Amino acid sequence: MAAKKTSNRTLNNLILDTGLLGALLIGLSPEATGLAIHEWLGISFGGAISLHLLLHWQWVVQVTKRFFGRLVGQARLNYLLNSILFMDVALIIFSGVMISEVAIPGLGVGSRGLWLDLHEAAADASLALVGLHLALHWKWILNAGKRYFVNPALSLLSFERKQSRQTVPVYIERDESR
Amino acid sequence: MKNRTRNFAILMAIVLLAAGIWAAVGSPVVSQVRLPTTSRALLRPDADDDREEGEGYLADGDEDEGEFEDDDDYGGGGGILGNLATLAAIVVGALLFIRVATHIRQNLRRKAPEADEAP
Repeated sequence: MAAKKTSNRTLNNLILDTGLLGALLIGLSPEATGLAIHEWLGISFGGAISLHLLLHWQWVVQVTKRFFGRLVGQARLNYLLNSILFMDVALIIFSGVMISEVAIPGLGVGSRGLWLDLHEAAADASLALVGLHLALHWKWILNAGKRYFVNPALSLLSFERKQSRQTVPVYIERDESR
Repeated sequence: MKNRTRNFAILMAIVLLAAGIWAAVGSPVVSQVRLPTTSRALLRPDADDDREEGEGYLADGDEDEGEFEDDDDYGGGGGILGNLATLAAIVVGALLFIRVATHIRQNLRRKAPEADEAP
């Protein structure tokens, strides 16, 4: 029962994280999607990131408590990187809201050019930060991807191959006239 | 054996650094890939976008909301595939770095007891 719960959680995380990665890549290309999709996708991205954070809240609490105590070096590095990434994403969304022209127009305060520069710089940095985030979680990504995406696809293919090889009964009528 | 590993790690670091500089400055292949706006401004000053201060994605007076006046109006971007390629390059670079760093660390750990045994 507990194993099934963990498995469901892993699958949920994998689906959400894949969606987040896709949304990030699409969101970073406003010239490909148009401004309306870019802005609404950005706002939805903020909600999805909050969900991602909530799903890993236990880890955040545990590492925060033990950050200056006994903690594996990689967890500390992960925590630092994730904190920077969180601030970067928050800056992207906030500056995006400030320069919004379609989704939330007229909310901007102060110099628009400054918000736009901040928005672009934070978006550029996010690509590098997400790359490092993925590299640090590479083993988990490989294992979960293999378990939920690759293996089911392979088993589906082999099932089809087996089905195509299945023997079909053929009835041969005896010629009674002979 | 240990020296060979260390030499390999140093060589790998030099190759990665050279590849990074080449990619950022002038590779014809990677120039299609997303280059950060700030890096582009530093490395290719001639490629500055001509956006006026206070001007956003859309040119003033543009009535078609959600449409871009010109690709050049927006400073960055090599498209979705460009972003994916950049992300893949960063992930591969980081994985290589982690692998080399782990290798060096393990070798140093292995080396430490030998140093203690020495008279």
